[in-house]
Formats: sequence, C-alpha cells, structure tokens
Amino acid sequence: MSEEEILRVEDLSVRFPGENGPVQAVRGVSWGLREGEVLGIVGESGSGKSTGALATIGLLPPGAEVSGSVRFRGRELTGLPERELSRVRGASVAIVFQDPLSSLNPVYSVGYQVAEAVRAHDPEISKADAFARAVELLDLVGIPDAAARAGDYPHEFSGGMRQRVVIAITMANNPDVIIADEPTTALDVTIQAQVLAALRTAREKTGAAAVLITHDLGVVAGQADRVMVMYAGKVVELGTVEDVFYRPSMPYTVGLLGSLPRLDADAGARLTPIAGTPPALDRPPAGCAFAARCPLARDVCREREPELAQVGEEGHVAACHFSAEVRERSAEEVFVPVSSVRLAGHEAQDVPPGTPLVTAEGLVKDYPVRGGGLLRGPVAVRHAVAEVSLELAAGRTLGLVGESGSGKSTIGKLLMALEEPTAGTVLLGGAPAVTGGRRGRRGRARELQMVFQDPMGSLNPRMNALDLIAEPLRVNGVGRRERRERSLELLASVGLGGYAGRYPHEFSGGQRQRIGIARSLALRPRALILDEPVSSLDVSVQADVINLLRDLQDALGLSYLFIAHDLSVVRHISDRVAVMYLGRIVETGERDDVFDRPAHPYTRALISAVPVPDPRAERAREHTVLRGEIPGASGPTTGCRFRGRCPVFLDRLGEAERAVCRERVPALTERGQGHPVACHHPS
Amino acid sequence: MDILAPVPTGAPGEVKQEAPGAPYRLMVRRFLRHRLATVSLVVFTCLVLLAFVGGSLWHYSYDVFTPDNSVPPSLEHPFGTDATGYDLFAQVLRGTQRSIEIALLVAGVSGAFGSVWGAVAGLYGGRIDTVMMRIVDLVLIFPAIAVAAVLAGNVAHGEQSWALVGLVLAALTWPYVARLVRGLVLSLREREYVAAARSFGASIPHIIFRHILPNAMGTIIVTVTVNVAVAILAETALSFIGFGVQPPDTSLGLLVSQNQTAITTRPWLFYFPGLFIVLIALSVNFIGDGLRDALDTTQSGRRA
Amino acid sequence: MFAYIVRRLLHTVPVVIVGSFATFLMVSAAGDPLGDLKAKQPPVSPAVLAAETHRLRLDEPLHLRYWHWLSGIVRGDWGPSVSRIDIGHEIGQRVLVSVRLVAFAMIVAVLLALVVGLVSAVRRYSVIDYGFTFLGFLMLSMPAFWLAILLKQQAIDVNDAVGVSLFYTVGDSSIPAPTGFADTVRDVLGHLVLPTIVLAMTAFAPWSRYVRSSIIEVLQSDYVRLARAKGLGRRTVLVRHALRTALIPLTTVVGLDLAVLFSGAVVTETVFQWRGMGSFLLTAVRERDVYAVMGWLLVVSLIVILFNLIADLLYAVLDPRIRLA
Repeated sequence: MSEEEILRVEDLSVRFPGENGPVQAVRGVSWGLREGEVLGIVGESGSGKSTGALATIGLLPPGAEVSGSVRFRGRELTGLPERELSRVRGASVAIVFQDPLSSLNPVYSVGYQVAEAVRAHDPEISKADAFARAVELLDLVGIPDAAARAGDYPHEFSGGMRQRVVIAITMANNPDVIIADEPTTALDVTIQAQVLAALRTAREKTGAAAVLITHDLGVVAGQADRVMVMYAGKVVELGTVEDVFYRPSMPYTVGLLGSLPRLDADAGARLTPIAGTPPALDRPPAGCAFAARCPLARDVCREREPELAQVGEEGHVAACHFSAEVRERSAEEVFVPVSSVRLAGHEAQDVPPGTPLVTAEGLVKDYPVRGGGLLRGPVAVRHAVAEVSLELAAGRTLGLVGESGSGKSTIGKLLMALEEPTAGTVLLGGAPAVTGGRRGRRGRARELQMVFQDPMGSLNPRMNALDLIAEPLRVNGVGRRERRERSLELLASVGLGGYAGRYPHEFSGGQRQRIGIARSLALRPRALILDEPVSSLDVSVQADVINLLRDLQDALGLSYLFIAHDLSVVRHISDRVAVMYLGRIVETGERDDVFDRPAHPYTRALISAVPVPDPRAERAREHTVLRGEIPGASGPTTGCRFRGRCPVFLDRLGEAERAVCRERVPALTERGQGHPVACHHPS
Repeated sequence: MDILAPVPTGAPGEVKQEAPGAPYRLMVRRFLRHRLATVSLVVFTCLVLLAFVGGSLWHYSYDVFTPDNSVPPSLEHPFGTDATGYDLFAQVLRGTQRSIEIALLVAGVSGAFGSVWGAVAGLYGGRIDTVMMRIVDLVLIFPAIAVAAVLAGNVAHGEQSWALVGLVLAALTWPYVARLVRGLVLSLREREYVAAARSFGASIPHIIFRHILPNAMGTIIVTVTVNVAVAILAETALSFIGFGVQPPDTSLGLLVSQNQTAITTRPWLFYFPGLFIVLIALSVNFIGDGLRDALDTTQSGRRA
Repeated sequence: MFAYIVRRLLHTVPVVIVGSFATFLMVSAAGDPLGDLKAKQPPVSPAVLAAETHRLRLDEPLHLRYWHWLSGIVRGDWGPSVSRIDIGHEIGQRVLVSVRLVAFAMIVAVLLALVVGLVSAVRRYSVIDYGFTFLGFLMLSMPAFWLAILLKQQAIDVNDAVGVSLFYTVGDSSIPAPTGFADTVRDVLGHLVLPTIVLAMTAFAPWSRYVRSSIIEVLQSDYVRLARAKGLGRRTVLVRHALRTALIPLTTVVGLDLAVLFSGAVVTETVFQWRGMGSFLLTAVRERDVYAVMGWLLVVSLIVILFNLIADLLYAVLDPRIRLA
C-alpha cells in the first residue's frame, strides 16, 4: 500500500430538499483514499455515509445539491458535465450497491448486463467478445457454470449470486476505486462470507482501492485498513482499524463499540446503549452534533463544534473537545448502563424459574408447491418446518437461530396459532392448546404474545400509542377505564410515559419497538415470542432494546423465544440455543456449549462466518466459507438436507459414510457432545 | 374513534411540535400545498352552490319560456336564450344540478358497493375471491355506454329518470372500485399489524374496521372522488346519445346534444353547457389529485 | 405458453355463457320489441302481430329463447331482427369500420402517452411537465362528444376558409367509394383523421400519467443507478433501462381500457355520422332489437377478451419474470 492518494474529498457537503426545509445529509466531509487500501466507512442510518460516497461520482438523485471538491488522481470531478462523469464511472470508479435483488434490471440477462459494462468503456469491442468477457468475469466471481448461466435472467439467481454479478460488473473495466455500499447487509451470514471473498477477488484482480461502507463493525474489523466513523453528516473519527477499535477517541465511537454484543465475549456483560437519537439534519445543532446523547458533554460541546484533530497516533484524528479524556475510559465508564425499566404494579410469575410454560412437540408445516400445466395441481410440498420440538421455560430465553428459509419465523407463527401446523402439538402449561382458528389464538393470547420484526409495520399508522397498547385489552374484553390505566402504566414502564397521544411516525425505531413490547405485555403473558425484534434497528438502539428485554425478564420472570439470524445477539441474550437449517433443528443445547463446542458442521460454519468486531481476533480466526446456498424446494428430499453444502460430507467422508448421510435423516440425539446434534458424523 | 382520548401526561416539554391527531393535520397541509386542488375545491364549491341554490334565486326558470328568442348573452340573459326562448343560464344551472346529483349518486353507490365487494373478495380469498373477481371481469368486458344505453334507454322515463340513470352507471363502475380495493386489502392484510391483531385473538370485523378500513380509506376516497368526474362524463355522454336524462328534465349532456346544430348560428348555446362539463370534471379531477397527495400513501406521485 | 392460452380460452367459455345470459335477460327485460308496431296508427292486424311475435320467438319462454339464440350463434345464425336486417352480415360490414377507428386511436394514444410521459418524467417539475400535466387533466375532463363537435366545426371552418375539402367531416368513407386501391386507402385514412384525434386525445391522458409515474419510479430504481454507475450514457440509460422496463405494465393498462375505448368510439362515430358499430347499436337499442344488441355485445366483448389475451401474452414476452405456465 502506498501513501499516494488516488481519491481526495475536500469539504464535501450534500443538501436535499425536505418537508421542513433543506436536509444537510453531509456537512463538510474531507477524506482521502490511498492506492490499494480498503477504507471502511461506518455509521448508523442517516449518518450520511452512503450519500457522501455516492456524491463523489455524481450518483445522487436529482434535487441533491453538492458542494466541495472531489479529485480523482488530481482531476476535479465535481462540476463535470454528465457526459464526462460517465467516462469516469465504471472505468475509474465502480460501485456495488446494497440490495442485489433490485440492482439488476429484471428484463435483461445477467450476461448482457455485464457485457454492457464492458462495452460502455470499450466501444470497439464486438458484442460477442464482450459477452465472452462477461462469462469470464462471472466465472471469476464464482458463478458456477458461468457460460451456461450468463443467458439467465436476474430473477433466476439468489441474492448472493446477484451480488456476485454486480461485483463482476464493477470488475469489467479494471477500475482504480471500488465503492461498496453496504454490499452484504441484505445477505445471510454464510452468503456474506462468500460475497466478501468475491469482493476480495475483485480487488486483487483489478488492484483497486476500495471504500467499504457498512454499519457492521465486524465486517470493517476484518476487511478494512483504515476506518472512518460518521455521525450526523460529519466525520467524527478516522484512523487505522487498530487505532479506532482499540483506542477510540470520540464518545460516539466508544458507544458504538460498547453497544455491540460480541460472539466471542462474555455474554453476561451489559451492553452500553447510547441514549436518544441522532439530530434531525434539517436543523443541525450549533455545537457538537453528538452532544445531546453524550454523557461527557459540557457547555462548550453545545456551543462550539469540535474540529477533527490528531489524537495520539499519526493519522488518527477525532472530533471531540475531550478526546484525551475519552481515550482514558472504557465504554462502561463513559456510558453508565442504567435500567430503563420502571415497573409499577407488575407482578412476577407465580412459578419458579425453569418451569416449562410452552412445549411444542413434533411440529410440522408443509406448504404445497403448485405446478404448471393445464390443471395446475400441487406437484410437491415444501417442508417449512419438520418435526421440531422445543420448550420455553419460565425466566429463561431460548435462542432460535438460522438463515433465511430455515423456518424459524414459521415456528413463531405456529406457536402463536397464526398458522395451522400440518402435524404436532403445542402444550400450554402442560395442557394441549386448541390448535387453530381464532379460538386457538384467544386461548393462547394470555399465555403467549409476540413482538414483531418491523416496528413500523407492526404498528397501525392510524392509531396512537395509547390505542395501540390498549388493542389487545380491547380485543379481549377489558373495560375502558381499566384499559386506559393499564396502557398508560405499560407505556410508562417502557420509558414512553408522556407520549400516549403520539402516532407511530412520530417515534424513532427504538421507541416504536418499545411500544411493540409494551403491547405484547398488555395481557400479562407468561412467555414472549420475539421474532427478530432488533434486526431492523441501528446498533446503539439495538443495545437499548436488548437491555430492556433483559430487565423485563428479570422483573417479570418471562420466558422468551428469541428468533434471530444474528448469532452475536442470540449469544448475548439466550440461555439455551437451537440452530435451524431447512426446517429442522440441527443442534441445540446450553448457550456456551453450543457456541464454544459446536458439533454440527453447519453450526461450526455459521459461527465461523460471523465477523467479530475486533481486528486482531477477526484476522486470526479460521473462517470456513460454506459452498453453495440454502436450496429451495428443489433441494435433497431424503437423508441429511445439509449434505450438499457440508464440508465434512464433501471433503472428509468416505463413500460408505456418505451413504448414511444420503439415506437416513439424522435424528436430533445426544452423541457424546454434551448436547443433542442432528448429524451422523458430528465433530 | 370511541376509544380513550389522548391525555397529556409527563413533562410538558417532552411532547414535541406535533399534537395528537397529527396525521390528519398533516393531510390538510399536504392538500393545501397542492395549489390547483385548493383552487378547484373553491371552484367546485361555488358551482355546487350556484347550481343548487342559485337556480331557485334566478329570475327565470329552466322550463318557462321567456319572451326573448335566440338572444345572445346579455345582462338579462347571461348565457343567452335558445330559439324557443328558454333562458340558457337557468337551463345550465338546472343541468349542472342534475349532472352533479347523478355523479354523486354514481360515485357513492359504486364506491360503497365496490369497496365492500372488493374487501370481501380480498379478505376471504380462495374460491370466493375467484368467483367474485370473475364477475368483476365480466362486467368490465362490456363497453359501459352500450349496456347503459340498453338499460337506461328503455327504463328511464318520468320524474325519477335521473336516479335510474345514476343507478345504471353505478352498476357499471363499481367493478373498478372493487378491483382496486381488493388489491389494497390483499396487501393490507399481509401487514404485520394485522398479524399482531390476529395474535391477540381479534375478530374479523375488528380487523376490518380497526385496521383494514382506516388504512384503505385514503385510497378509496381518492378513487370515489375521481369517479365523480368519470360519472359526470358518462352521464353527459349517455344523455348526449339520447339514453340518459329525458326532457322535460335536462342535463348538461342533453343541452349539448339539443344545441349541437346551433354551433354556427348561436354558438353560446353549444359552448356554455360544454364548458360547464369541463369545469366540473376538471375541478373534481384536481381535487382528487390533491387528495391523492394528502391521503394516499401508496402512490408516489407527490409534487414538491 | 400453449397451456396458458388454452387455459385462458377455457376460462372464457363460462364467462361468455354467463355474461351473454345475463345480458340476454337484461336486454329482453328492457322493453317490448313490438312496442312500436303495437302503437302504430291505424293499428296493425292481430294476425300480423302474431306473426311478428312468432318470428321474434316472443311466444317462447325466456330460457328457450336464449337457448335458441346461443345454439343459433354456434351455427352462424344471429337470430331475427325487428327491422328485418341480416344481423350477422350487418355487423360483419360495420365491425371493421369501428375496429379500424379503435385500433388507430389506440396506436396514436400509446405513442402520444409514451412521448408525453417520458418528457414529463425526465423534466419533472419543469414548466413542460406542468404543461403536459394540465393538458392531461384537461383531456381527462373533456367529454368526447363535445370535443368531437368542436373539432368538426373547426375543420368545417377551415374547409370553408380554404375553399377545398381539406378535412373529411362526415362518414367513414366517401360515397360513392373511390375506385383503385391507393385512392381507397387515402379516402379511408382521410376520414379517420378527425375521429382518431378525438378518441386518442381522450384516451391518452391517463396512460401518459401512468407512463410518467412508472418512468419516475424506474429512474429512482437501483438498476438504473447501477446502469449509470457502469458509465452508460444518459440516453442509453433512459431508453434501454428506463423506458423499456416502464413500458411493460402499460400493455396491461391499455388492454384493460379497450372496452372504454369502444364506448368512446360509439359517441365519436355518432358525431361524425359513421356507419360503424356505434350507429348499429344505437338503432338496435332504440328499436329494442334484442338479437341485434346481443350480436353487438357478443362481438365487441370477444374483441375485448382477445385483446386482453394478447396484452397478457405481450407482457410475458416482454418480461422474463412472467412465466405463463
């Protein structure tokens, strides 16, 4: 890596028109990208990290006002006419966008779209040659059977494969800079590992420097050389990964790192959430933008905006009046964790912790798959859930992890009677529950409640906070006065006491999820099903909700089924863990047993694929990159359903041992690992 | 909303700029920002007042001869008179009243019926949905004006003929509403808040009236508004070809039809009723556009 | 694809049967076909009335009458007419005249909608966008018959001013028809001009709004952004990525609006005094000519069904995501 800067951004600002006047999305940002390096840009949603990067090559939507300077190899790019800019795009600076499902035009084949990129900067090349080059590129990024599949359309590829196609497009003209804007956010963790590998290939083949924009500190720790932290449209800290991760000098960075649950750390430690929300950028505050959320803030912070200044190491800069002080303290010392729960009039469970409250036995859910032809009858069934048994105990949390398509959310719906199981029973407090229909749901509502993933989508926008929380009471025939009292009490207990009359759009994401949690508690259930309750929230807010859930559990003795794809969060909050793959539980046990001594090859791969927000640890870890993707209905129907991707099956087993995997479905049994595993050849 | 009124509790400074009921205030603000819609609302209100109140105040009646034949517009007869001495201004007012009455009837009936039809089909799904939507497709295959002519042309005579014309047109426009509402319901019923309500054990009526309808209302109101304009045009077209409102009653379409040959000799007879049709339909369409900005969150066509 | 077409056509059969039975009831209930005859002064003889009653099958119960009509249609017998015309022959002559108008208007309206929609979308919130928007709303609020009369009068004025018949304002072709192929084509096209303008103007407005909003949506899509990020030129992005994709859903919209276009054609033909399906229908309704009305509805609804099928197939051809299986 040389010290030569190929991209230099100086005092870049971006403004958008907004409902209440212009929104200053990026406010005077300066940074440089050196030859061959990877610069990570981290920040929460709305921090301006993507906007600032897209502005460099003029890819912002119309209406955006850009000022400042962007120089590529000394050539000024801002103010260039569209025609000139389009010569730079793709050829010198290429981009990978966040959502691979919408990045490709649905009506052209992927080969055509890659070839189009080749031809864009090489008009001499023939269509056939460009297509041949496209096939080559697709092969390079790991599209299996690239020559045959180049003629297929985007919808025939999975999200991970489409992202590889996009990476192939960026490689087409050997760019000097690749900007990757949240390239793996929409993907499962095992697929993320594959795409990051493809991105690495792209960098190595083209020798390009890269800007990696992400909110995932683990990805940055593993991939980037330097990190830039953004907050409210400004750069607040910039330095090498080690400097920033080990010697953070701005309270926001400290908070960000402290609010992150870690896969490799002691799970008992309390997270340190950052209170409050980022300022609205249509009226940015006068002083430090972080002052309102900063426990160290003093008068000077609210009056004068801190400049970026060197802190300690060469090239490590931070924007804080008290950065020297910050460097001395740990996250716990800066953000003193406090319980945010104010419980009044709640009573704890009348059963001792560990008593089974909800038991599911042999749950099965099949969906018919319709065929073509004249009659369109069902031609197959898709097993969304196959023979799953689990138990929720008072005061305990069962973490249910799996990637998309694993059937983990379906289990939540089956338990809530939102879907009818094909087979199996649910026991509430030892007695079989009425299976389905509204009667079934009513019976369950007082025992079991659900918190949904999307706090905006699960709250009716036409109801205010009070009505939202009162709804379950109303549905279950609680009188008006009692309803109101209980709702106000609940609202206060999740820290939203004064906001009864507000509507969902007036709350922040974390506050909305608090309303969702308060609503789920209205009927005093014994157990909660939490379906990805924090996955749509920013890290600092996520920590806040996780802490709230823990406090509620301690106070009320609730039992949780915590459904999530994020292993770090699951490790942090669970007592027991169950890992799902294609509708089956493949491994289950006490949390530390499973995470420290995983026995199923899938669990091992899953854990190894999760990036850890610790540069040294992350680079030292061994990563198993799983081949292939979760098969749909077309996957193997007999034997072990993981074998098509299983590193043990594919690389280590003899023919005789493989035959067992092919023929018999592995049952979930104890095989000397100390916890049950569904694998014929566990490690 | 019968449920508990919101109460101000907690620290007074905590509740920020927007007060309870904010969504509705926001809607009004968005509508008023659409200048053409605001102007149109004023124009349309004036037209309605003029037609429904002005007619009885005006010193000529639409069905009484005046001594003046074929007089061009003047102070005495602002829109002139026809060959038999009818005062055109009185006739246009009367026609406007009839046309608006019919249009409101059509939009109201087709909006209500179509909404219920579409909501039931969308909510129940399966075979019920298939059969109900097949019926909708069936009605949409036929050119409305042909069926309307068949029905209205032979049934609608006498005093209440305008109401029959309205009902016939409603019978032909409800499928558009039904199809739209069905699509809306199909997407609304997949929302997580509906799943949440179901998980509390909520009944289907509760889900319809607390969740689906309040969220579908914006789009339905926009559609019904635009249908008022569609109905005005349909009614005038039907009356024009002679199968709508029958004399001695009158409507704007009928006036154009009766006076189409006068375009060279007494052009005012042709222009005024036509301009009124355009004015009514245009203002209603703009009001609909403004309502779309204000209410319809599913449409992205918002202007800056 | 083939299975899809067969299935679609099979779905059509019950629709046509149920639909035609419903309309048969409706049309039969709408009035007495012999009303005019009975009201004649001096009264016609009972024998004549009886003969007419028998000829029009009014002596049969309703369901039998429908059955005879339906089985007649299958054999090519369109049923007796009050005014003793050959319904099948008459419709056969007129249907081409009307379809010609509808097809031309559809093509013109689609082209107009594409141009106006594209320009408005690209120049969003500019004067030209507001201008087109206003024009669109104006056309949306314009009664076709009024516009037709207005246009016809303007054309007559121009003709008078110039002293030559620059525009044809009456009829669908000249009588007597000109001889020779080229002259016939020129004559027919000439007569098409004004009615096509009227019909296209009233039809294009909602379509152009639709094109505008779908292009705006596509322009904000990630794949257009990626196309720009590749370094493609503005025009290429606009035509190849934005317009091409935004076009697809328009096929469905146009297909669905076809019945509306036929309604417009009935009125337009009336103003320009065409001998098309419009005047046939109006005469039939006035005379309560049940079988003529039934024939009209059958033919027009089949055309609409056929066009919708074509629109769906076109959609599938244009959009690889749609599999017609």
